[in-house]
Amino acid sequence: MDDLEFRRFLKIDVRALDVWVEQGWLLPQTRDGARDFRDTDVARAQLILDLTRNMGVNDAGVDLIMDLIDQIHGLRGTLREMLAAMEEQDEEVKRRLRGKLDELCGIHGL
Amino acid sequence: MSRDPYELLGVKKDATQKEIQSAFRKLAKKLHPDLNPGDKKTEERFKEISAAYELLSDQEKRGRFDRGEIDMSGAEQAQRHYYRDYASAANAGNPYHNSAGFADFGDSDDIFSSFFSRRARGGEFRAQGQDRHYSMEVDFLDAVNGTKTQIRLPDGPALDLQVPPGTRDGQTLRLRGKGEPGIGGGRSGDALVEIRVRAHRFYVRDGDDIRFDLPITLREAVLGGKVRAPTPSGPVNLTLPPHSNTGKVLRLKGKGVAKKGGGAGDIYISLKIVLPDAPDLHLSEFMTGWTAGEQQDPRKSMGE
Repeated sequence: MDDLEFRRFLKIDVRALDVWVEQGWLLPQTRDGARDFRDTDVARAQLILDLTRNMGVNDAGVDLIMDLIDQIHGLRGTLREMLAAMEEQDEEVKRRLRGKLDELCGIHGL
Repeated sequence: MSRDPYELLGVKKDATQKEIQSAFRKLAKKLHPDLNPGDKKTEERFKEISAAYELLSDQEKRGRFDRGEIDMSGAEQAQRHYYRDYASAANAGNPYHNSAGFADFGDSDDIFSSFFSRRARGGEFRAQGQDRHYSMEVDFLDAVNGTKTQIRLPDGPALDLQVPPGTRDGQTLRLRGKGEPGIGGGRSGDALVEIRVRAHRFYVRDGDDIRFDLPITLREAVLGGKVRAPTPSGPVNLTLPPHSNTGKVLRLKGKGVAKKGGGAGDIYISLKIVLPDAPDLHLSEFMTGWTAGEQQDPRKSMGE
């Protein structure tokens, strides 16, 4: 959706949106020289609104939270790929991996 | 959704706006789906507390609810997609993808670490080849003195192997670059050869020292004199003092095994008196007439 649709949907003014883009919290695509927002940007903007409007988080806090959330998703994605790769191994390899993981859980008391 | 918004937020009917806000913030931190990307159950509860908060945070709506004019269904919220649903879909196409969380995993050069460093740097895949492990038996004296030998790998050419002086049993020698080839221009792995040192007939290794028993005759023991003793680096002449008993230990300083940082250990030679191979008539006669021998009690210290 374009700038105006996006701001109407979220009920935010252009100044706020400029800050979000400037801070790198949102990375809209550009189409014909104008900003173009995807569904993922909408969902992300709603999270920023939840944080700022309802949860009392200031700009510095949003910056921190968004960065950590992005890192968590990066880690989760990689972990998921690793699990998928492990799942594809032979039974023997899987059994050994499982054994090693159980052993590590034992060490850490999980 | 007809539950009581006060109950959902865990506040009293007469709670102030400040209390309502603080209760909501506490719950929202715990239940916001994007702050709990792994917990699917939070979504429904977050929806409920958001609806409750929307109703109670608005003075007018709250008043109408208290008077029974509206219920919570008025505050029901539209179906919403959370950011986590997009973020988890695909790492590759996501412009917000951030791999800083494992950027430091790639410091080491092994095959799995390089998987992470490739992701963190967005670069191409490169990995050091795997090491190959072998083991090899070496004679005791070759390990002590060092030797040059060849090792024939099961699936490769014969390699020259330099066994350094003072090599210990279980020590691993590394042949750089003789392991599996690297991937994507990464360097080859190493061949790691574990050395097994065969036991010697009489030398015993004790760290950097060597110990062994040296047989001497009864005559040498009683009268002393020069005897020839073997060592790993060649025979040496020893001078035994008169009356050298079994168990007496002679030390040859610096004649042992080469140490890692230079220098060498010692050799400890333990004397062992050996009777002639066959019984000797003269010796028996002498012993019969040797009355002092009857007085000796070498087992005295053992009690009984």
